[in-house]
Amino acid sequence: MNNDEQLDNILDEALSAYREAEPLVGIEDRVLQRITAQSETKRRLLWRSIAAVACAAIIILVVSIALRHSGEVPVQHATQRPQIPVTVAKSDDQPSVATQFARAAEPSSPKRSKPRSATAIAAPSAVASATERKPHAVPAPDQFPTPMPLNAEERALLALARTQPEMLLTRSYKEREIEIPLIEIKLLPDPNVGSEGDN
Amino acid sequence: MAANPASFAILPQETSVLEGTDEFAALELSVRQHARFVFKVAYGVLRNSHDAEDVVQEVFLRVHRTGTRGVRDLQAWLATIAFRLAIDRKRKPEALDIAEFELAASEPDAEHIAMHRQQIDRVHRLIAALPEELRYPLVLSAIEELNSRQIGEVLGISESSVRGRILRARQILKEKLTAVSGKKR
Repeated sequence: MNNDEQLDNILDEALSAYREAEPLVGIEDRVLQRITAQSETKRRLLWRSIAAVACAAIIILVVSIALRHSGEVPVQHATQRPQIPVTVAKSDDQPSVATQFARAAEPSSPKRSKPRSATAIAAPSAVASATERKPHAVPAPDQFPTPMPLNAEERALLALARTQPEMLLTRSYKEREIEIPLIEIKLLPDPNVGSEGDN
Repeated sequence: MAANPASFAILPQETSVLEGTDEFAALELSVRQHARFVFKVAYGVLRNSHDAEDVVQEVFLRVHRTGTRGVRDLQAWLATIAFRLAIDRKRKPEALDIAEFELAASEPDAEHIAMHRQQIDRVHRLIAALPEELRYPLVLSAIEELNSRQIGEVLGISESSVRGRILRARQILKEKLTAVSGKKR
């Protein structure tokens, strides 16, 4: 064996270290474990971010709805006036004045068939405004000043006038009979009138 | 010089949603077929089994991320990724110091073995001292799974250049070994 062959053998033997290099046992399992772990981490991160985005969207939606409702002025449509029930007084079953007042105070709706709760009866104006509330329907006023709905007292007065007008008439007569003290007005002569005439 | 094989039990893995899918099955097959080959490529550059294993893991994580669609030669592709990652990770090679080579044993047989070991060690140092354009073709040529065409693909050079560089590297090593042996005598 000459020197060149010897050197070749030494080189091949040295290079066999690269050929025979072996990793620690179970490298495949460790690689797969790491890939799995990383995928799990990524998926968890993805789900967390999705949940966070969803929560943020819900919060924004709720806040925007709340803001819209709080900033909205309850507007009653100009053309929709509350219908006042007019009960024609009959001799047989004429309702009492108190019942008429209570009925007049309620804004009646022909579509509503459910029995009203105590709250609705106690606060009819609030119920009326709640039912009439429309988010974007601000009516264009066709009359100035915009006709306002009657309040409870006005409705009660109207109902009283329709059912028992004599009560109001009696009262007006009485009011007429009251004597109003008249104070005599004395007109004094204007001192300037005479002087201007002289000039 | 082979990396120290250690036998330790692998704990059963947690079952994952990923496991059981076709994608994972393909990846597992790829890992089981090529992990050792990828390790050899990385080890050829790094000469450190722990670093080489890190490179193997990184290679297959990339495979998992990008997939292997459109890859014609999977082995050459894996070798290229491993080689580049290993180059990125590589520390500066130690400078060759011929003067530190000394005979240690006094017994005839032990002396012969020690001399042989020293000679192999010397070759490794000489290889490490080679310029990169010669060292990498030589080291990769030692890996049986890679042919000259694949080495050229990994290094980005032609097949003939690979052969030329391997021959030149071997020639330089022989000259240096002869010179070192002459000095010792």
